[in-house]
Amino acid sequence: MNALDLFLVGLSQLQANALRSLLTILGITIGVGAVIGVVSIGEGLRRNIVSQFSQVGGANLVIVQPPRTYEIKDGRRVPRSWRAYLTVRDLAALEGEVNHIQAAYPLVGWNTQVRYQKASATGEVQGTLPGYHQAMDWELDQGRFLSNWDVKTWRRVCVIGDKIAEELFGDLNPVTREVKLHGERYTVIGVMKPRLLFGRDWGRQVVVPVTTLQKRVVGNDYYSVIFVYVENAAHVKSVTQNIEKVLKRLHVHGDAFRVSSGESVLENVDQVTLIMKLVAGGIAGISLLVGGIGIMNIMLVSVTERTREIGIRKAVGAKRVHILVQFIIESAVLSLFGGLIGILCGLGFGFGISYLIEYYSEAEFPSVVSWSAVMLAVAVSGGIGVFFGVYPAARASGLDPVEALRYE
Amino acid sequence: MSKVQIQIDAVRKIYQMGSETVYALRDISFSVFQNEYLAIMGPSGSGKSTLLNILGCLDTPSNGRYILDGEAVSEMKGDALADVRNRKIGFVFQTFNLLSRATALQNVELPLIYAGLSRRRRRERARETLERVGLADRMTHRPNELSGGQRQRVAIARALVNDPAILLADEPTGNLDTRTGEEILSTFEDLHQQGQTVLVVTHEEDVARRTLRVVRLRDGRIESDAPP
Repeated sequence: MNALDLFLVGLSQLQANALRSLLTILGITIGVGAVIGVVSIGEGLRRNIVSQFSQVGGANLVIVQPPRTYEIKDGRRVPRSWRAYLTVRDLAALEGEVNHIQAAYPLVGWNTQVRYQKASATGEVQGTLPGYHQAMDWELDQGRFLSNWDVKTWRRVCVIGDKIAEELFGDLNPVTREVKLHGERYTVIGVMKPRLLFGRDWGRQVVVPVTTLQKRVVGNDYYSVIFVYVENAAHVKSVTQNIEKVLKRLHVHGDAFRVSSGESVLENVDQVTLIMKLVAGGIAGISLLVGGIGIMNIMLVSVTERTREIGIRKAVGAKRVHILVQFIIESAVLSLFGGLIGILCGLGFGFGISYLIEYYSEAEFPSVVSWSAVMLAVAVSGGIGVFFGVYPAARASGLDPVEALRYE
Repeated sequence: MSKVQIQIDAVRKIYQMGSETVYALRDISFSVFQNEYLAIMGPSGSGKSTLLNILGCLDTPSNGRYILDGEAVSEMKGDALADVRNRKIGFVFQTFNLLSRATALQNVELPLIYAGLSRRRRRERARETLERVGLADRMTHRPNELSGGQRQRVAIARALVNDPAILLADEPTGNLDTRTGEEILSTFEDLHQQGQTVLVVTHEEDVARRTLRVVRLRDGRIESDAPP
């Protein structure tokens, strides 16, 4: 008697009691489905973040931010009694003292109205340095980006995003035209191509030389953030540590500055997905246990119902092991079937959720089929079938043939 | 004379029913030779079912020896007995005892599955045997699509498919009308003609009369052993 025969006998048994089988495997289906669904969403989330990070430098990027203006005390946000800022001095120190830095781009953000003649649009003004667009993989559509000369002389020039260009100029070519920013005239020197990242549209940006923004508008030399590009991903850790060291030396509250790498953000994401997986795993564990008990119950019923069949099989020469294996396989097939339906449900659930997220956020959010999770689900559901099938199968194989044949 | 197929020496079967000891068989001895056609008769409670179970290796005697086709089966248990049933015994039951979800062919294949034959050889042998009992055109039918007589012939094919040393029939005509019962009995006669050892347990004199030897049991003892 080979495995295929046994599998077919198991399958025919499922067919014979289709509704009963379906109800029995529901527990397994729910358990497996929950895990597969959550894993595919979690993997999708991770993949999404990784891919977006790689667009802005990925593993080579270290982000330096000033301390938050609040702190958490007794679970409540309270304003800090002190302030600390990233300044030109910090940028110079990082570039001068930390090895393996390829480039560092400071950024100053400031939102204001941008006007051209009678048209007006809300712009996200960003002060930065030449080369920033290349580092961010943001392509120029027309004109040029900032130059070193622009920065040195605090020139009133700007590079605008596609949305601003459209709202202010329509079909006109914006390059060399003047817009009004904060009451002053700025010459448009370039227009950027559309960009969408982490669900944020870059089209409303108005990029100006960082010095222009600091000296002419804001009146201080603070940076909102410094993007540090490391020569090689292998140096990210040492660069991160060295940046922290420099900041600690330059500032009283140096250790409150936030220095994060793509890797550390991913670690956070991993932590969140791990929690999701654990919760789903808990649900799955309970549901698989209940499902397994259900399978054992139905197998015991089946053994009783088929006492006579067992008697016949024994009368024509079935050994204990034949009956044992037959019922264990049946139980495993039952459970595997539940697992397979669960996998399909879970994948469907994952795709559904990712579709909803993409639909409402317009961001790319793939649902990822994790083959390792699928294999695991198949193994676990099969294993549960075997485990919970052993006892009923042992009962069946231990039946006395004379008694079994006499059973009505 | 041909060789001894069944040899039973002082076989005793005792059941413990609560505090009471029931003697189902009291030191029975007899032999069956190859190609005999005999009936075992007796009223209910005479011990004929117990004897059938022991002869069919479904049960073991409490005492005594049973040698089947040269093998001392009274010394065996469990899987070893299952093996003997598979190789040496063909059962035909009063209620047919076919697997209801399996086709005639699959039912006949069943003993061969446990004998470990390949799928192809199983198919072949089962087909041949069904043809032998005249059911060549009913192979893919399930038991509920067959008449009582056809079902019993499927059961006979299943009993024969492993080429057993003895064919054991337990009231084979009990659930059939007279005419169909007649057919089954003539099938047994044919098989006997072809050299098969056939043993029928019955309480019907009509059935016993068709055999060549009748062993009558009463109260666990052999009352008589003679031609009908």
